[in-house]
Amino acid sequence: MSDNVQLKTPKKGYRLLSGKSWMVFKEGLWHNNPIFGMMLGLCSTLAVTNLMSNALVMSLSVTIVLIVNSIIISSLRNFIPDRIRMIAYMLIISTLVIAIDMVLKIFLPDISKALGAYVALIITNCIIMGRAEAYASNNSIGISSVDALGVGLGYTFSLMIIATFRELVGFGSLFGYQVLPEPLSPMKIFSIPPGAFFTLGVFILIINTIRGHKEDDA
Amino acid sequence: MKEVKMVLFLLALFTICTLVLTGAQLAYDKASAIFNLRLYAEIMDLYSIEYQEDEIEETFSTNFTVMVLGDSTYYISDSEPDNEHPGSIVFKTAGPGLWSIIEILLAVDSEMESLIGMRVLSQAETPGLGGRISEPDFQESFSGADIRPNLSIVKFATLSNEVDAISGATKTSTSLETIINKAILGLDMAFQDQGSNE
Repeated sequence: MSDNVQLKTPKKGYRLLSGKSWMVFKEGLWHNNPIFGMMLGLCSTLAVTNLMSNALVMSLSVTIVLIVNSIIISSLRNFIPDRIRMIAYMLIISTLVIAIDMVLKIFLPDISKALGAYVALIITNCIIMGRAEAYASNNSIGISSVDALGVGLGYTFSLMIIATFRELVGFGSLFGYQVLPEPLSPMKIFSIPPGAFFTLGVFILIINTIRGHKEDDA
Repeated sequence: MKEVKMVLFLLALFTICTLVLTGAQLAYDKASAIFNLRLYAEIMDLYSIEYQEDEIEETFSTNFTVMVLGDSTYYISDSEPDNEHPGSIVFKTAGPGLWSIIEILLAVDSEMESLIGMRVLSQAETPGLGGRISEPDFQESFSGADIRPNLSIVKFATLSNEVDAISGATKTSTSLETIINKAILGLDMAFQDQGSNE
């Protein structure tokens, strides 16, 4: 497997033994990771990665919305009139998000409180709109849901590594359990948004170095 | 023809989404009995009263008396069985924050001079800035704060009626100050009326 296996050459990917689904899945998870590759949804990333539990619930909520939304939109793709497709996407996404918000309020009140406005703001998360417009609107249900799963897990994975670092350094804990010994005082800056900017920037650098990402000359 | 189709499609989609949300709202309302229990649990946490998960209502009613004055419900803590703050009043209040309605729980001592505690029940302020009013450290700083002549949320709290604000969240902090002071005013009026009626 080399670097040139990308969605730009779908035929090549299609011929691989692992199949097209695997390619699409890996594309979202790694090569075109929403945070480190596409740089979408950064605002919520900065905000909810202060604690691992927040990041996990947020990213799983986004993943669920993403998958269900992709399934609905791809099954309606031949019926949605082209000129009003954005409005239609917004309606479907908002409905899903409000439902998720209610579920969280009832079953996970503490996390719902900690996430605050950000659950409602999943509606405007560019990842969801982006995948609906770029993928689900012109691909079959099966492959769209695989794409949504890949992107969703890519988002989850990105948020979790940022949150792991921020919680460990900012609070000295992991998932709320104190792991760093008391005398080490946590660096508060990593628990607040400015710390998130630094962390995100450094992680983008690291991940893109590993991925061997090359900026286009254009 | 194309326009008609578009309008019809949107209408259909609107209807479906509305129906789905109505269903969800109904289910949510049914589940909301849980919120009363959660309020009781929150109050008992504030008073550090221990309770069993399945006996929240019983434990609460042995420790608190419910008092309805006007539109508001006040919970008065009983002196029995082992209450640290007998006669103190705890109640729920709400008001606008920067973006959202902030719902808080206030516990005022029996003299109505200082706060026993404050808890944020729900808010949707800027996460990481105003949203930090939900953090335990911030809420804890209200315990024992004087509410006379009024409570101030300021930079560098020094006086007994001052509490440290959250930096970067001036609007939320000011809103919270307003909500608390309004609530105290309401409390005064409610109990004044009640006093004169007797």
